[in-house]
Amino acid sequence: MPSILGLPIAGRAGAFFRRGAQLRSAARFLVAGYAVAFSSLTCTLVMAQPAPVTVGVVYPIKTMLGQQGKRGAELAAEMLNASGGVLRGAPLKLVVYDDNYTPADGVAAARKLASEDKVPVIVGAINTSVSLGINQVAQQNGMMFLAAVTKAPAITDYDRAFRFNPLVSTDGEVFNAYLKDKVKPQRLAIVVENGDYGRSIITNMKAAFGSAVVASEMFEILKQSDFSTLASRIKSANPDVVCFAWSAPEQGGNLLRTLAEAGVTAKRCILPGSITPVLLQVAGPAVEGAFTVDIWAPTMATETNKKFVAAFQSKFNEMPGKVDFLGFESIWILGHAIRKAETATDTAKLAATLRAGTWDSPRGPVKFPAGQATSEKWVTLVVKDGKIVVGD
Amino acid sequence: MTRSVRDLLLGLLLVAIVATVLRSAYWLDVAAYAGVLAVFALGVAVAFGQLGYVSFGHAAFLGLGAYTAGLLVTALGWNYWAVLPLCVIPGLLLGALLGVISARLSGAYFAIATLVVAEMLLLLASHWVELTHGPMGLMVSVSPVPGAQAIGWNAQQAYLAVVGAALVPAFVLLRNLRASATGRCWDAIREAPALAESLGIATAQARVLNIALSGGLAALAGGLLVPKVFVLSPALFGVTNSATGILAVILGGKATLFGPLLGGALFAALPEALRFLGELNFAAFALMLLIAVRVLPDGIVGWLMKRTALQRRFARRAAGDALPPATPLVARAHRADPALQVRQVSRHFKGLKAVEDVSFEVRSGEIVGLIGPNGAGKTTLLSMLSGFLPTTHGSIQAFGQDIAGLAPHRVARGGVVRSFQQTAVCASQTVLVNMRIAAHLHRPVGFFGALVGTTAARLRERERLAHALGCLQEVGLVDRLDALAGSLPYGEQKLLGVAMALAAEPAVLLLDEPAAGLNHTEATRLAGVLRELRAKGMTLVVVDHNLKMLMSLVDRVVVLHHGVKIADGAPHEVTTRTEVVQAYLGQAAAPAEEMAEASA
Amino acid sequence: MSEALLQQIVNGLSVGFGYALIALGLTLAFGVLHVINFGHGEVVMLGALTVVIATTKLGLPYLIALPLAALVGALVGWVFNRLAVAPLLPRESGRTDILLTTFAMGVLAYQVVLSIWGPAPARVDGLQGRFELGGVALTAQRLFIIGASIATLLALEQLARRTRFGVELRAVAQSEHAARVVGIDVKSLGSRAFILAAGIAGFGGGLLAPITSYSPALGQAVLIKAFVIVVMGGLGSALGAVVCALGIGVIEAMLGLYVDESVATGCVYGLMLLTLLLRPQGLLGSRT
Repeated sequence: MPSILGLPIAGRAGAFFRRGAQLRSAARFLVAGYAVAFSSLTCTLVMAQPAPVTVGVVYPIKTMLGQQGKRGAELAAEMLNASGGVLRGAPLKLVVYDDNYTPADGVAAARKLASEDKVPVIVGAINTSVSLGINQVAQQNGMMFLAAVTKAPAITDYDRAFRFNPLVSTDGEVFNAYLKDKVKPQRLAIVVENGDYGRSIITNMKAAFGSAVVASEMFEILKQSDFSTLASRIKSANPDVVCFAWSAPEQGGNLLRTLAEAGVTAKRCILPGSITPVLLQVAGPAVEGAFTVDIWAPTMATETNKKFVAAFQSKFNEMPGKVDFLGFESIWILGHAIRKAETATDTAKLAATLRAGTWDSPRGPVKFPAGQATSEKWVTLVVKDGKIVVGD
Repeated sequence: MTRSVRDLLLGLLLVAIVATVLRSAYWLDVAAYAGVLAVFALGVAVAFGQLGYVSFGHAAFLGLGAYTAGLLVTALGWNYWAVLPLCVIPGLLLGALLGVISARLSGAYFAIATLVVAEMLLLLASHWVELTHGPMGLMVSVSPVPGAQAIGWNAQQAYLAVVGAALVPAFVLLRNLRASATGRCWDAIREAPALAESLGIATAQARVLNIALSGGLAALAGGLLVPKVFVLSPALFGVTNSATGILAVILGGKATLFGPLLGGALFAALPEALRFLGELNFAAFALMLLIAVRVLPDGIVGWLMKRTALQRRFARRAAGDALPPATPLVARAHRADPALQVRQVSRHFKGLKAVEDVSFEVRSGEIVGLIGPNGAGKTTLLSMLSGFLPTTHGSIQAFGQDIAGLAPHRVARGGVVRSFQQTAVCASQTVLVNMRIAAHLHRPVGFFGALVGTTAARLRERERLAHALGCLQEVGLVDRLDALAGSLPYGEQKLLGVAMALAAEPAVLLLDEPAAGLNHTEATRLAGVLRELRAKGMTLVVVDHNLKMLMSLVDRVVVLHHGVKIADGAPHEVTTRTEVVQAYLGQAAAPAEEMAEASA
Repeated sequence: MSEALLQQIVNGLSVGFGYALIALGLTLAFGVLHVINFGHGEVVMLGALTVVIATTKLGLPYLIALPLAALVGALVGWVFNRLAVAPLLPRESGRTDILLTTFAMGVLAYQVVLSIWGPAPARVDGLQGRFELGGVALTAQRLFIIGASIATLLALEQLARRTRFGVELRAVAQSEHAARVVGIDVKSLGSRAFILAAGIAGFGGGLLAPITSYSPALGQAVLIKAFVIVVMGGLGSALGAVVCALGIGVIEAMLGLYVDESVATGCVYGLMLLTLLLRPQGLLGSRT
């Protein structure tokens, strides 16, 4: 006997069809019955669609780096939702606020996320002072904080905060090891921006290379645009390798070009995070041959990376840079952690899950010892023919 | 209960209510930030709105206050709430320094100099990393407010309460100050600095005090900022913060005190409220600023005051205060020693001998006329007598005291007060306010009396008002009390100038062309006033060209020509002398009738 | 004189000339109108942006893009003037209000550029090539900056002395009242002066762009330096602005050989304060 949705029809239909006069009312009854059944089913489906899991995202969205972080985060959320959401099908929703690169606005954004939007997790921030401020608010409210880009050590003093970018000391260890083994500089010059990143690098490298360091220079973040004096000083120190670190690609580009114009022919090694597609555009031919060692490169061969880069290129029509990647990774891993922990609001459990697990990311498997995202493999990147390629 | 105490309590009560009612940590944070920016804007308003000095570098104080608090907490381990009042000190010091500099610089130069000072502090904070952690940021841990738990407030509510507890007294005290003689000094310095000096106001000291106060308040705001940001970074010294201060004052209305308060609060609240616009929130904010300034030139509060009944209510209340009866000017006894002794006074300007070796005496209680053709050096001499120009040679003594080379306000305090050739009144203030400014030297009140508004201070205010009214009565302008000084007819403005000089209680009054531009009736009225003054024992030196009026008035005449004294004696005697006639009319023998008529 | 020092002097001169053009615009606006344009930096930025768009999107050669930058600067100046300056001049507190409105216009321009063009910096390829003369290296671009700036300054000098516009400008700068009395349309002249100042600034931005790279934050970086130069040289004095710009460019470059760049900047600031204390009207300014 045929049945639709478990409702036997043959008998009734047959009986009604045998009685032609009652056909119309019977048909009406049937239609009504199926309508009720169908609508109640869809209602259940709709009700069963869970409310989205909201997560706060804070970046200086009017700046280059902030936009990159935001793009990466939004792409990750899209990809997570396309593969079934994060919590029993619930999609991940990002509430994005601008921190305007100042602690006052960053803290206000964090507080808004805490008391108005009531999110359990905040992701993002680039500036150290802003990140530390947001961390305090997160701590006060029992929220989780994923510091995607900042390298400040003090973040992980809070047990529910996690750092994705390696510490400068880690950068330094890996980088210095590479330099010592492969490059072997005799006369090393260091040119960095005046910030925590820059200063720690000078300290680290001086400790690692001692007297091989013949010059160390600092420039003001975002304020300095003419580097001819700096270039002259570097030239007079006659280095064979110059190491750079910056966060603003326009300054990096200027620096490279000015040095090339001044006739400095040393090998250019650039510290992690500073070689990006935008830099290539700004520096032009002056960046050819520069190299770096970093946790990730767009051409890394992992499955997840291929998916990430492909999706990024099709959405934004350009190759992702490191901050795009970090913005992506933080949300990507968060989404997977929520899936595994089966909660978004119990931040203690979520943090513990994150700490305990190994997570898949475009850079390979990532673990979180002491709250720091750590991957095994670092890659060398070289700029060849205007493209960033993975070296040996 | 005085008005100050009442308003103080009301304000604190309001803050307490807001702190208790708001539950959301976010809105408490926004409200607290609004309070901090309001304090900052008040600080800027003291220098900018009251004194008229634009500063592009007030963020220097903000940063100083914040880092002082932060460093004392992190380096010495003191409790943040105990440290907070100490933040004011570096602000006061830097402000005083800038106040001293303001004597040399003004206008745009001062503005940019302050900008550069802030930038230098920014560089210092960025590079003295051992002390400030530079761009890495100085993390300051703030312990809970003592006693907050007992009232049932959480940390955010307690913070808001403390900010309010700083803002409300600051506002009330500033309001007292503004209504007192100190505030009037600031008004005078802003509108007519030379006039202020001539009335005995020590403008240099007043500026230092003002800018120090301004700095102290801004530094307090900086200290209050610490719990909001958690981490101090050198960007606190940046131009954006300085601009916020100035813009908040202009937007709110720089002529009032409530305006900056509102402006500061708006600058904190609006960007947050506009967050929903995402990336465009600052563009929207800038657009609103542009429109606000175009449409509301007096700022929001200024516009409200003009438009609404508020203005009328304030005006009515002021009128309702009964004016004390005028204290008429007392007659002085003649003194034996000469009022003014001018000995061999010269003034050279790089080769031009404006005044050369002039000597004369003015006896107590007489009117001396100082005449001479244009360019004779009369105004130069008068400026030297009143301290506005230093002498190149010679001495000037008033009742035996040396006054040559003293600053004008010192000379005024010594009893020698001048009026000005061009009318120098505060045109945008009423006659009453002008007179109150002029009464500066009469029964002065101490700073703290004015600040707190003690009964003694208020009594003295009334005495001063009575004195001012008496001086107005002397020149016959009492019925013009509420008119704007700038709207008075020219003759009355000059009379007002005389009244203001009188209010400074001079023993010797120097009048620079008081009859210039007056018609016959006005000149006669003026002459009558001057005669009355002589009858009351005042000594007068009058420079003028209206020989007819002058000769009817003076006891003696001194004639200057090319900077040299050519005659000195009774009017009819001097005017018939050939040198004098030649000086005025040239070589040809003068129609003696002209002179005779004048001296008749 | 050591090679490095000579190199630094040459470098300093090239940067100084660029700054001179930017400062000139600012001091011109002040001399004639007595207003400080707080949005001046953004005009420079827009000039640089014009060169970027012209050379990359429109494919125009750099030398054609430069006058375009000046034109865009002048256009922006016109907009600033219509919206933020001219309507407020008649007011009593007009000058202070103009601070606010030009600041707001600057922020608006910055935000609009951010929204439309984005925050990405961009490279501008100016003139290519390097010259070496006795151990001192000079790129063609830097040489061009020096040349173009000198040419512009000379042109302006001729404008000021020979043309009616120039004579009227100087008249208004000396005494607005007297200029009105002799029949000069002060309002129209003020507008034209403002537009000229903005045009020069745009041109300066276009000249400097190959060296500094374009970025939306270019305006803010330039503004304080421009203020320091203008104040030190004397507000309203064109010669003062040029002399100080060159002086500061060279001093910073030379100091930079021995101390940190930011210490050099700090020294320049200190020098400015000292100058003002000794000569409150600036080196070549006039006491009003």
